[in-house]
Amino acid sequence: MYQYLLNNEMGTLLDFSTPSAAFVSGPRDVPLLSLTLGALLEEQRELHREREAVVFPWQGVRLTYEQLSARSLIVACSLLAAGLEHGDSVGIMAGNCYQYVETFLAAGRIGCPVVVLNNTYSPQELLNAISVSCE
Amino acid sequence: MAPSIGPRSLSDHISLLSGSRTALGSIVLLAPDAGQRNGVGAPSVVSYDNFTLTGVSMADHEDQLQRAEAAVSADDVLNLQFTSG
Repeated sequence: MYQYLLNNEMGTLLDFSTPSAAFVSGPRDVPLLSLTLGALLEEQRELHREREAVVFPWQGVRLTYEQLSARSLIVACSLLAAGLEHGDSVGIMAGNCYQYVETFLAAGRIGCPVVVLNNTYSPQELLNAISVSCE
Repeated sequence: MAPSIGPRSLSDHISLLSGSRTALGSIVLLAPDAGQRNGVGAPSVVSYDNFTLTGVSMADHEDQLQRAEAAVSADDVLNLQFTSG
């Protein structure tokens, strides 16, 4: 799979065949993009559709942009159904997994900040972080 | 919450959270088996699969989703991280 990514997907983004400068400069007055994470996801879905967006070999999960967008909508609905509203926080404590990506995108879609909880927290540190985040 | 991260089990973390009174509404466990309700004021624990099932059956809430998405602005807080400093 990694080879596939390198050959077919990353190849268009990263060209390792020709050396390029380590330091590059450009104009400083280019306006920053202003769009929401949800809008960015939809933009990428339109562009890439059936191309793979995320791959988690240890979970046996591969999702295309189309699937990732659909999954993020489902999780967003689940968050709303659980009573979350714009501005309510969603905490995550997990290693690399597809649920992490889905949840991050879903929460972003409905304006819920994702609180990244440190993977090395002790139980008490976790409780403290959650108490602070929920204030 | 993942049930474990690498070789480390998070069962003590989950027990503490699910037995504590915080503003936490519920704990979604990234594992197949879950589904208990704890003491008054404590968060419920539900599996990710069951949690997302509620979203699948939410066709009638599509208006709610569209309203929620429309209310998001690029200037809203997206991510909150605690630094070690």
